[in-house]
Amino acid sequence: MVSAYIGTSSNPPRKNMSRKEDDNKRTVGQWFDRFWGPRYDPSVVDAIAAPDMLLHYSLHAPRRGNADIKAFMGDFRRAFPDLAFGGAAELIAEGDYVVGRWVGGGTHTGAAFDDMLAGPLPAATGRKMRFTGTTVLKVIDGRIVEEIGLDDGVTALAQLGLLRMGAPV
Amino acid sequence: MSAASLRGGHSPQRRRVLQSAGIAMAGLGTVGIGGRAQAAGPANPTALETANKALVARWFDGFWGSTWDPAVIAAVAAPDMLLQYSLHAPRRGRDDIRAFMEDFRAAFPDLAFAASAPLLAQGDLVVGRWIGGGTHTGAAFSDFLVGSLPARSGRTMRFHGTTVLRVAKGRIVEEIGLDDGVTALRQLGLLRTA
Repeated sequence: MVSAYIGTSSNPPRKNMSRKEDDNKRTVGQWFDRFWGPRYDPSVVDAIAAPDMLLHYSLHAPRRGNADIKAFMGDFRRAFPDLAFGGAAELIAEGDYVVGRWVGGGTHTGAAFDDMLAGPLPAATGRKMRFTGTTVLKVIDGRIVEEIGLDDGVTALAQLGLLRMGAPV
Repeated sequence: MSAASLRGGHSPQRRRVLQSAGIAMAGLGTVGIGGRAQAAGPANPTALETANKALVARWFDGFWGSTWDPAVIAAVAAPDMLLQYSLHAPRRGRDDIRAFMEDFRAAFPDLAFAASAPLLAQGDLVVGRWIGGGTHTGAAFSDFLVGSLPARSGRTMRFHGTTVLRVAKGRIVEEIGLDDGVTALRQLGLLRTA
């Protein structure tokens, strides 16, 4: 009862909530920086991702768990060595959720890449993609448990030569 | 997408707040509860965010929902509102936004989008995640950036998206959304994978 009393009196609900939302924004800021930014730091996955984190973007098949998520980014960067995404607007946070709007891309100067749902790229096509997106992340106890994003896939896939106008022949 | 569709993920107490905000808004006409909450200042940010969510819920319902209510534009949209989705050219102002939706519904008479998750709000921003679509049984449609559909192609699109809306003084001033365009345009036969 004593701890409940202290918890209630020293952490009024609204102050507590806004502190949590600020913390969640910091966590997501670090994640965007070290996972999606120009310099990939694989240790960020162990530091910030929940063990069973779900990573799901509209261009790619969903990934689950630290090893799978590291494999995703390792492959992505081997194909696009200059891959870099950055914030396009301020983060939005409510409760466990943080929403990020971003822009970025890279040039396909590296390995063949078959992780796009739309189709594979042979090695070093030299094609460049630059596109925007919006991502909703869920943060629990300082760890990202879920990252679900929408890419402007029409722009990205057209730039990569993976989309054509018109109906299938 | 009324207050009812906001219920998922909220406590019963929060549900009542959202519902009462929605009901209060319906009677406020051009002033809007958002404007009143904003006048109260940053001392009460939660009330502002709740009012903004109710405004956006009303917009999603009347503008994007299964029953199109053109009157929602005068009631909810700021006079110079910007409407921008990745599939379409941007529209600005009430007349332009009304023309956009009239054309869209003339082509897709059963057009309907609805929330797929509770709205999120911080400050003057509201984020909506949605799903929906329609069947092209109506007029020819040339508003997609990538190409045109001849009348009555009979094709059905169903896709999801995420939208960020900005509210000022009880009106929506900006609605910027990302569609899962690859899905929609492939379903409509306007794009194919290489």
